[in-house]
Amino acid sequence: MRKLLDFLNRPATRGNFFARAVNAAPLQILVCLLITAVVVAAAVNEYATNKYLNVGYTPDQPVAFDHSFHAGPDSVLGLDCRYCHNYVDKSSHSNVPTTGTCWNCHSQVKPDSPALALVKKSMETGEAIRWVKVHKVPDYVYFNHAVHVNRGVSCVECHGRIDQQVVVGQQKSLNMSFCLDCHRNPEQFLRPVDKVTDLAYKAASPAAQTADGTKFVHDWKVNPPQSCSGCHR
Amino acid sequence: MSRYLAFLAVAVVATISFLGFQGKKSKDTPVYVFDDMDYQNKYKAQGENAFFADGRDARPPVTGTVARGTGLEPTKVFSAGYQRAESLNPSFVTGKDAKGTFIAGFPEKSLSFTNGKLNDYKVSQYTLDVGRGKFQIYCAVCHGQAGDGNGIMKVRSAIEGDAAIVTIASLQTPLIRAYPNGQLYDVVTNGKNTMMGYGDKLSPEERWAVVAYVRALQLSQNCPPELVPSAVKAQIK
Repeated sequence: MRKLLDFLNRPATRGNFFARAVNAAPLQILVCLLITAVVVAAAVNEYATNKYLNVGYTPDQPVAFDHSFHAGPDSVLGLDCRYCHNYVDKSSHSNVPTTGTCWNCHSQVKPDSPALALVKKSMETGEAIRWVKVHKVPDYVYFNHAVHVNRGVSCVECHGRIDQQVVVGQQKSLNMSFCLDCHRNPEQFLRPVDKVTDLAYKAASPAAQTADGTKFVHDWKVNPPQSCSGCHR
Repeated sequence: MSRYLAFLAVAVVATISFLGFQGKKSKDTPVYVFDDMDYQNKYKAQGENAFFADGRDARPPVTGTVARGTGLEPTKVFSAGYQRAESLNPSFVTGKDAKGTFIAGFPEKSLSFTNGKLNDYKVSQYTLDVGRGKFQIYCAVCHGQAGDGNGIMKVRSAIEGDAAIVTIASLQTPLIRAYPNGQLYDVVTNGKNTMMGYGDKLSPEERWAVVAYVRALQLSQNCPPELVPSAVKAQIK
């Protein structure tokens, strides 16, 4: 670089109106523009997508419910996801549990714990607990939980290892290309229906996953829509 | 040029230290520069609504009213010959007969129609599979996989010294074996003592399936020798 600049700024053989440094200016401007373009493109790629804007969103909840203690095979209690999110296989919306669901157990277990004060108050007054929604898709996306869960798409595909999270945060981008990755290659993701809430499940090998998945796609007549109106209306 | 590159390097470092990388944990609500129609003012499941006093989008049914089908089937619900299965076959929903006593067996009719008539209700292998699935999710937490009352709640209560250690019932006791099916169904629906009802989580069909599965569990733990298949008998000996 230095040699190149020295060459461009070599002494002129005869008089010149412009300073010598000007000889190198067009090249310098071009290089600066190129570097700027690369940096800006990298920044857009890093920051201007859901992967940055949404992933990692881990808000404080009004009640510090710990999924890693309650749910999943590795947890202390080992509850199934559906004990609380009981409409996930019947409804498009996977419900946040009612206060009564907490109270099924907590009327007997630590009902007077300060951590549960809000739950107790909600149980007594009927006032809703204002849980903060973490996983959102835009309102023009009509995602149906039931059709996915009942066709072997596990919770873990979109929500990650919730059963290992103390505070729930978003782990997957949930943008449209994320949806299409699976809608275009469902056989890479489908699993036996009874393993849907087993978030630790993995097929024996990638080849086994493809073989199982291809069988499920055929047997269950899985035909994920790739048209706009499949999800948008 | 070197001055500009230095400036650019500083800008990059500043941006990264300020914004971090993808996947950074944050408690702040995601920012939408152009939110287009991402968030629309419409009623959503479990949504928040400042218009109503309780702050909910979801409206509870008006007191004293009975739901007539769902909003997804208005044409059917408001057509002339509409029959509401629950009204025609109340014992399927309550577990009681017309006199208000618990029915001993399973209901005779289901809640589904063929040609305007209620189908017969039969307990099949499918019923038991549904019942096992639901039992293992909702019931086994307290009552245990075998219905013996030794679920994880009992174990934890023993460790933590909570009241549930004495209140969780075994489903294998003579008392509960002697319950008519309708009473078991009623307990699943409305709860009993410290147990809360599961009527909000399980449909009537699923509750009867759970009753059938509980009966199967009771048989499994108290099986007369002549009912044990010979292959299994050999294993036991």
